[in-house]
Order: sequence, then structure tokens, then C-alpha cells
Amino acid sequence: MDLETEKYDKFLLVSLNAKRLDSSISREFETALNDWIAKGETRILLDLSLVDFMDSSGMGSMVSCLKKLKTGNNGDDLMLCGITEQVLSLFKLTRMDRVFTIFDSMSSAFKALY
Amino acid sequence: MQNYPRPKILIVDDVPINRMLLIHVLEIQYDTLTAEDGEKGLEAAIAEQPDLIILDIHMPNMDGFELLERLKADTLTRKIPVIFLTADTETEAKIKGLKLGAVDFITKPFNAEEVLARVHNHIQLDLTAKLLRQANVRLRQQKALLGSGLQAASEIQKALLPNQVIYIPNMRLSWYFQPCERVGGDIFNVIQLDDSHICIYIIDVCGHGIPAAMIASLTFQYLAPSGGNIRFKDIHGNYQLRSPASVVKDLDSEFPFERFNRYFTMAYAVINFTTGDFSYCCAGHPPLVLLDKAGTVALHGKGGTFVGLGDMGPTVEQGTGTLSSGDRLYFYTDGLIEQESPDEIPFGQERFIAAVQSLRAYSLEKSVEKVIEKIKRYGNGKAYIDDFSLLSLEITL
Repeated sequence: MDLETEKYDKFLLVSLNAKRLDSSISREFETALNDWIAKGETRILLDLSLVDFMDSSGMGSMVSCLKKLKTGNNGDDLMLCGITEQVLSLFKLTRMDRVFTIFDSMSSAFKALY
Repeated sequence: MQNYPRPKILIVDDVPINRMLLIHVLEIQYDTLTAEDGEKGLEAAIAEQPDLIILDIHMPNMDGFELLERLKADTLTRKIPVIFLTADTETEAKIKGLKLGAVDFITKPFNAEEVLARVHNHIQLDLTAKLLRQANVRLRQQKALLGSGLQAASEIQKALLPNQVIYIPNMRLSWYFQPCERVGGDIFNVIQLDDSHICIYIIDVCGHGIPAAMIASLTFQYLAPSGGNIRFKDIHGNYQLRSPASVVKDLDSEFPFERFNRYFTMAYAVINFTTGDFSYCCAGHPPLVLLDKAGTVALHGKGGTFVGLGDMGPTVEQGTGTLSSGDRLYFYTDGLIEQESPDEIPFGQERFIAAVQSLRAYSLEKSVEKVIEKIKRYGNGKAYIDDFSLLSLEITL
């Protein structure tokens, strides 16, 4: 599992370099995100464009981080972009597309956040 | 730092001066014992179980090579490291001794420091090997204990599943339960609520294995008919049934994500088995599949998101429908849909729908059996990545 991060003044961009976000990497992934949150990051944009597949452990690690960040109405959030087909259908099936802030693309994310 | 007793070294040599020299070199650090020929050396090795044996090749009454062979052949002595003494020029002897299983050789005339250094190294190596063997034995014991614990947990989990015996006269039920480890995070149940209603629920705790199974058991307990959470008696003594949406909302409060750092998905339905009317709620869960007698499929997926997200989720909705005589209703967990082929393509909802449609003519039980067969064949031996469950009913009105 490989995470690339880039700090912008409005948020931290985290790109997940893995094809499958599943139980083999979900714990590591969750720990990495938690580390960033512990360091004080409050707005994270997660780029999942390389992820083809996500299962409940992957979803669980994201929900865990979302819960940590989205504690009030202060704009702290875990936002997503670059969601691929299978992953999007999982979000729709579970109605998590109505819980997470999802951007179609990185450019629409940047436009909205600046 | 554990204190081990001093290592014991057996010296086998027919020449007394050699024995004395070796004792002299070794006795400061080690306990020593001696034997004057191969025969006596073998007896001493078996009886005393030394930590190392130094033996000379040229001895009467069983030479060093034969002793070495005998030591390696006997289970009581074959693990004891052996160093043999040999004259400098005897290359053939060196090769033979090593091939027979000796760990090292010392050339004569020997150097005291060299003897000590080689002995020390081999004693250390042997100690490490002994500790490893002991650790393995402990590990096997722990594994056996864990295995029997898991087996017991697996039996308990299976005992919670609904009885296959039909207890509603106009309804048939058939189900399949496959945790991907010995216990799983899926649970389902069929409960008669009153004279005309049953509820069916299926729950999938995220993840799998022991933690998921424990949470599944808690939800099962919460939803017990006597618990007051799915039905309660009013002041007239009649059962009032909680609506699917309210059951889901209650569970959402009882099991917030923060409690166990997990969420679960659930489909909960209340069915009037005298009229066929039903109401249901799918919380982050795959839709119910309704297959009529003609083979037409309708999906029922109204509801909300995962149980445990509280305010973060959209408002929980409830869906309704009506079953006609001969209709089949399928409840399942996503592990069934996500079962992958060897090239990692999931079975998928469409394939599942097509499968139940094609099996319509079979009895309910046979159709469940055959759907599962199809999924297993599709997986073609690929390991299950998630628990999967299937529950289906057929109603006659």
C-alpha cells in the first residue's frame, strides 16, 4: 500500500496507490489516515482513482476516519474523488454516496474547495 | 536472563591422555564425562543425554564412525551435536564424518582455544535449536486450544440459525450459511411475531472472523422476541409490532459506530403471512429479490445506510410490498454477490438474479442448493473473501 500526500492550504490531498482497498491493507490505511488526523489535518481529500475494488473493511476504515473528522459543522471532512465504477456502485448500494462528499474529479474538487 | 545448568560434554576416546587433556580444557566452563570406547560411549550418550559429544575416530570395539552412525540412528541421541577428532591429513575421514552427521571436526594435535571456540559455537547453536523445538511444541498446544475454542464458537453460531423445520404452515424456508472462517459476521433469523406476522432479518457485520461474530451475536440478542425491541405487549396484552424503520433506528442508537469501531448492514422485514403484505428496511444492505411464479424479478431496496452512522446517514425510509401465492423472497449478504471468479470478477447481482430465475421450476430448497452450487462453481476454488448467507422463503396463499 502506497500513499502519496500533497499539502494544500485548504486541505491535504491523499492519493491511494492500490488496486484493492480490502482487508489486506485496510488497517494500514486507517492507521496512516489516523496519523495525519493526529498531526492536525482536518480536511482530507482522498483520491481513489487507482482503486478498482473496495470491500467492507475498506469502507470501514474510511467510515472510521470520516467519523473522527466530521464532528461538527465546521467544515472538517474526509472528501473523496476519482471514484471508479465498482466502488461507486458499492457507495450507491449502501447509500454511502449520501454520507460522503464525493467529487467527480480532482478538478471539480479543487474548484469547490477553493 | 534464564540460568541454564552447565552444559554437559561427553568425551569418547580410547587414549587416556587425550581424555585428560580435553577434560582439562573444557572443565572450567562445562561438566564433562568420558567413555573409553564406542560401545561405552553409546551407553553413556543414551543414559546421560549430554549437550555435546566429542569422539575420536580410531577406537577399538566400535570406532568413531560406527558410533556416529549409531548415535544418529537412535531417537534418544540423534539430536545431540557431535564433534569428531581427526588427524590433520585425513581428508577422507573429515568428509565421511561430516556426511554421517557430525557438526564439526577438530584436528589433532588440537589447540585448546580452538577446541573451546568450536565447542562454544555448537553448544550455542544447539541451545537455539532446543528453544525453537520447545516454542513449536507450545505453539502447537496453543493452536489446538484455539482450534477447539473456535470450533465451540462455530457450533454456537450455527445453533443460533433458524431451524429448517417449517413452523408457518403456508410458508417454506430454506437457507445457506457460509462463514469464510470458522465463525462469521453474518447472522439471520425468522421469528413469529404474532398470529399473522413473522419478521425476517439478515445482518452483516463489517469484516469477518471472531470480532464480527461477537458483534453479530450481540445484535441477535438485542433482536430476541422477548427483548421488547421487535415487539412489545400493550396494556391490553396484545403484541404491538415495531416497524422495520424503527427497529433499524433503534439498532442505530444501540450500536453506534464508535462502540466497536464497526458498522453493520441489515435487511429487516415484517411479513403478514395471511395476506402477503410486507414492510421492510434495507440499511446499507443489498435489496431483497422477489421472484414471482412467472419468473419475473422485482428488487426491493428502500431503507437507509449502514447501521451505526447515526445522524450522518440520510433519513431511514421504509418500503412496502405484497407477496402473491407462489412468490419467493430472497435475503442475502453481499459476500454472495461479491464472490469472485479466479480472475477476480465478482458474481454480481445480475448473475444472481438470472440464477434464481433459471431455477424457478425447482423446489425452494433445491433452488437454494443449486444457486449456491452455481456460485461455488463460479468461484472455482477461489477462497471465500467474505462470509455469505442466503435465506429464502416461498409463500402459498
